[in-house]
Amino acid sequence: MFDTVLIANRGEIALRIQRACRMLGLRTVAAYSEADRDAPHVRHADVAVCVGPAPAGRSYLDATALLLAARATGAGAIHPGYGFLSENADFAARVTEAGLVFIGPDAACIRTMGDKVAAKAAMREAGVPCVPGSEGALPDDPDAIRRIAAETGYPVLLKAAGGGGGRGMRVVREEEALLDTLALVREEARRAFGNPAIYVEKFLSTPRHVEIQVIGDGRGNAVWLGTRDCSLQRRHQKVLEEAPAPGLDAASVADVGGRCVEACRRLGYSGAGTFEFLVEDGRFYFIEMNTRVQVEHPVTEMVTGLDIVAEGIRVARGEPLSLRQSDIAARGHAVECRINAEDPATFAPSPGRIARFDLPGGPGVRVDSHVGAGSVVPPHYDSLVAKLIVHGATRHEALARLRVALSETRIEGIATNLPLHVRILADAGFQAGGVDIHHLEAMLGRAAA
Amino acid sequence: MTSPLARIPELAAWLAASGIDELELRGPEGQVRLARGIGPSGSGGSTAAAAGPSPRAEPAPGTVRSPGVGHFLPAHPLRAESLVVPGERIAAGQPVGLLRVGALLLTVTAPRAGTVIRVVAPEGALVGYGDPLIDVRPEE
Repeated sequence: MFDTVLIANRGEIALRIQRACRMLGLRTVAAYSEADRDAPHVRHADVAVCVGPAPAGRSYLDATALLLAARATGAGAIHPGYGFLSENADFAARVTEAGLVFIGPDAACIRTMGDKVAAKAAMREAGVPCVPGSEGALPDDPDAIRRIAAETGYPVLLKAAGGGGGRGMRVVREEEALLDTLALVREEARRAFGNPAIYVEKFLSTPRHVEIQVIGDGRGNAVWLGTRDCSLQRRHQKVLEEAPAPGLDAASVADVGGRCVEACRRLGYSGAGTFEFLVEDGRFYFIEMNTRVQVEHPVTEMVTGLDIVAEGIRVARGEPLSLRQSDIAARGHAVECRINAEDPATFAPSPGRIARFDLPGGPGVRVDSHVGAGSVVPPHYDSLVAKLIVHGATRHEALARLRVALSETRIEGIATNLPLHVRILADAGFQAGGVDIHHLEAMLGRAAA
Repeated sequence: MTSPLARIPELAAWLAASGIDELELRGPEGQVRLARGIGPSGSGGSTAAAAGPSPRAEPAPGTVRSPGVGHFLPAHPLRAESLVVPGERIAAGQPVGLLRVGALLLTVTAPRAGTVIRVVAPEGALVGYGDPLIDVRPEE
């Protein structure tokens, strides 16, 4: 079994993966771009090789360069992290064909979950609750389309099967607008994703975003590790996440968690994964599965005491899952703030050299970051510079710790969204818990008005 | 052979255009080191330069750099002689070395014509994208 892992990523997650590998006694290969020459995971790697120039298309997204780097350095496995090639089924297949281990689920799983229609079909089979709507891509016959939309119930959402991240979807409030909007979305989808397949689902007006973390070993063993609430989003990008999702009925959560585990068993799912749901009026509706470790995994780690990244590597090494569902307990509450190098008012990226980087500390405070004073945030990648994670015995205590931690954090030289986190923390709706996915944008809209 | 000192204006122009902050050139006649005025934050500067606070000795402008990851071989494994030797004139596109990745051999070609000064990468060394392999004095 492999003893050397090539980390095909950058930033905080590359360092996070490296920490897990080193803790497990595995060697690491940092495959980095020219812009990340001075990254800490490059410094700590057993072997570090530059795979290409700064633009991701020629480095972190260049499957051939990464596979050659793995071959040249003797790596036995590739960890894709999140973003970049992490949910690229073709890459996973090429890694396997090269005789290496892809740390994550197999290519077939990634492919199924990457296609929204196929993913929903797989979830329905496993009994995971889905948003009502067309069972697959809409047909061409206008009468059939009208009938499906009417059965779903207006308002409905038209979604591109190949879309994601909030792209390729539109709301239709009444039948008169249905066919024109459909033609528009179809054309957009054909151009943007090369896949004109559109499906329809019920539009939920004020849902929360709640997700369930799972981990499986590909041999029919899987567990779920509780919920996260990621409703605080701006333009479909998560800003702040917490675990567990506040105010949900424990019995219905456990029921959905069990169904997610069942879906993992059926899929032969291996590694860490997340089932994302919209929750409205206490009911769960599956939206998609992320077949990788997520940015917000630390909040689950804080409440369960588990190392999700290390578990993912262990199962990739062929070890059976050591966890049983009865071993999993959630203690207390955790919150994560994504600290981005961006203007807090305009949200424009703010790359540059960090002049000052004061981190918070104290009980229950964790910071996952790859930067420090003197680091340069390159303009080529996403703007995440740090994740501030706090844990408390209760949500109230976690928020109190977060307030202190945010006040201690100082970053100068680049603009960051720290002021936004301070405002979220002061917001009455957030303090009460359980806000919907429109809450943050509404809050920003009020402030701007 | 012209002295490097005679070529400082030319080198300075290349430096300004390249986004490289510091350039060090060693030759048989001595050593030249050129540095750009480096601001505190490198604001507005090229990101390639700004991203690298670590002092990397920048090789000569004609240097052949590695196009990717592999173990550098100056000669084909089945041949005794190196593909290029110091003092040799090379043409643009000429094979000047190889990268070995497992059983695969990838050809490294000269980006432009010039004269080989020396082979800088050790035989068999693991090199990555952009690592200097062979110092070349480019032709006018």
